[in-house]
Amino acid sequence: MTLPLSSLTPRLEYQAELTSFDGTETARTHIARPELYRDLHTILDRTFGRTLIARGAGLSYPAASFGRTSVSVDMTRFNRLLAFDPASGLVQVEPGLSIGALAEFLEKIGRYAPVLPGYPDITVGGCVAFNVHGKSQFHSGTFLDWIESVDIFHPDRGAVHCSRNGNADLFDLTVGGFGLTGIITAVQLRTKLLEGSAIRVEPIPVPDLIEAVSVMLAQASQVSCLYSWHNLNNQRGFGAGVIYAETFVKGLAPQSAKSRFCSPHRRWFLPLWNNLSTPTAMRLYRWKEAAAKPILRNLRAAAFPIEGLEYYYAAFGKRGFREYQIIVPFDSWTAFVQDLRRLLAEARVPITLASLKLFKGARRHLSFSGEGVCLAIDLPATQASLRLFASLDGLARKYGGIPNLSKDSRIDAALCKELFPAYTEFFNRLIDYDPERRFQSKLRERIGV
Amino acid sequence: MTLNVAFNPSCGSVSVSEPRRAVIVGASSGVGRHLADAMAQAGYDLTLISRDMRDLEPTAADLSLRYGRDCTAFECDIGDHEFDAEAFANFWCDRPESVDCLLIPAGAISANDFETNPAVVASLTAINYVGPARLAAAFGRRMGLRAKGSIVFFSSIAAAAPRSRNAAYSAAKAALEVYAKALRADLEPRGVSVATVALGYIDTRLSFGTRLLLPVASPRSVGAFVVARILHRSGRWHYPRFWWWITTVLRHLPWVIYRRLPF
Repeated sequence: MTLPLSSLTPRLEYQAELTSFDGTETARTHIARPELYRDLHTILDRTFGRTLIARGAGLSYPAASFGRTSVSVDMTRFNRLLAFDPASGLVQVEPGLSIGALAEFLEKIGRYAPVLPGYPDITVGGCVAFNVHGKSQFHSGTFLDWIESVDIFHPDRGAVHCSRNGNADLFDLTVGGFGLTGIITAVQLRTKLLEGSAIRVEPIPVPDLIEAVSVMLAQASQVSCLYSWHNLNNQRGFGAGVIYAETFVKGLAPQSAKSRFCSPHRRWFLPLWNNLSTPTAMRLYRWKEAAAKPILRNLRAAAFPIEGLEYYYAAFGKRGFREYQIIVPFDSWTAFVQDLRRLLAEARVPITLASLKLFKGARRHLSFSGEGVCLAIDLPATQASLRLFASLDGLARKYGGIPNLSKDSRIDAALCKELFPAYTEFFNRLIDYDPERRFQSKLRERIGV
Repeated sequence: MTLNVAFNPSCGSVSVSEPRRAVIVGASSGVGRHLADAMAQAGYDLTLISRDMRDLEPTAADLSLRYGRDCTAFECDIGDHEFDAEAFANFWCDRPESVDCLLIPAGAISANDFETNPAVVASLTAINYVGPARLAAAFGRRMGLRAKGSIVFFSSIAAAAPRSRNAAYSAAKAALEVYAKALRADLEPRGVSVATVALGYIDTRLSFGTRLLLPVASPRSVGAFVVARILHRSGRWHYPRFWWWITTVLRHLPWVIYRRLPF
């Protein structure tokens, strides 16, 4: 006699403590890691009244993939390429496929995905859930612009295929919907033909943040990707930095792969970033980059600049770090920079990263989108950083800035409602779709949708 | 889900000049899936077998796209007593590109395998021993006639160190090891290699969520190890290798000590 398959199922979930990538949010939660579709359906069918949330590589800065009462469904074993159509360039993948693996496959067949975040382990499902913007939103848009369709499973609604042409409302809620509409089971993406076999990176030194935006706007039409790095730790020479202008070129690029320093989740016991080490390191980096010459990079190194720099995150130590990312309208940029300089002078906190990108396009529910200059700053997670971020929230109110919820672990419902005009509409649509709120995360609890 | 594999880019690192086929039983997850990946990367066309087409089809599509190999998905339960191993072996061996390798990582454990539960004993024995043995016998005979081929069984360290939990599983894997040794004695002189890999802790669904005392190896590393070291060689290996030392010590411990061990 042979028992049915379900009786031979090994353990599907266990309890563990999960921490957000920035290290500031933690919860003891249930984790399930299905490897087979029958395991996935068992987990989704037998929740025993608990809520669910999908989890990818665990690289979301806030606690988007776990919650106190939720089962985190680790989808990383659903990481296969499902189909590719050379005529249309459409590739269909499972949500747990890493963008590094996707980029590797596409490069072999002479194509690429224009919107990729900076670390290769991030999953396609995570990119959909946060509608990520990659390195150059100005040139390539957001992930939404490259998604053809999404297959999604909700325990109460079953499997639904959604796109701009069918179940468009669900498609709109899902892309940038923080994983709250269900478990994504497949994603179909548009791809582009590679315009070259290497990337030429030209560093352009700039004296400050205002000049940087002028140069970036002037350069934008001539390059395929544009972003910058700045030193905000010194009042003298505040904002001095380097713009990186990238263009595809035909030719041989160095083929050596970047070796990883450590796991991106590793955090050293003692933090190394502080008020002494950070300004020194940033000044040295600025000197080094200001003298740098244009270089050729292979496609992977150019697509994933953070690979190999894992020590940057490890050096924040166990207390973690915080990032503030905001889109400031172009016409408010000069006034914003002046206020920012004053706030940083008062706060006296080490800024370990400051970077600019250009954004264009319309604002879209709670997604990080709109038109203006995108500024990102990183600093150690301390009380001083919380006070500084509260002041930056004030600047966001004053200048109509849009913060990035996928990078922030502290924005609450009241602030979210204030900064996102579409908050109430998004909330109502989400509740109409899923009145039982079957999908929950700490992020959802915090922003109150 | 619509699966329409319209394009095979032939972009894998193909290292063979003539088409060769490997049959992998239990290819839908864990070690089996990564073995399939390693074999496709090494240039083998694949026949992938598992109990559920929902998992096999995406795996076959993925390997076809990544490596440009011919990957055929075949749904069947080798633990089912109605499964006709002879007919199956005939079908795949009676082709111009015959089967060169048979790899059987299929296996199952049960949360109910802790007391004398006859239904669990029968199920686990069927999946972990009877099915693989029948299939290997059927393929082995045909490989012997061609004087060419390789069969790889996958056992477990549990076969050497049984516990009160997983009793039926350990016994079935021990039976499989004994059968593999007998099959090796029969087939090795006829040019067919028979290998057994006793797996330690591997990060698969069988070990998921279990507190383990020693490091867990990735299933990807098992695939790479088998392709690089085991294929076309007869013998018995442990993976990770340090398990040889541990199981050797455990085998020779007096019962009064063994029964007190906290595992």
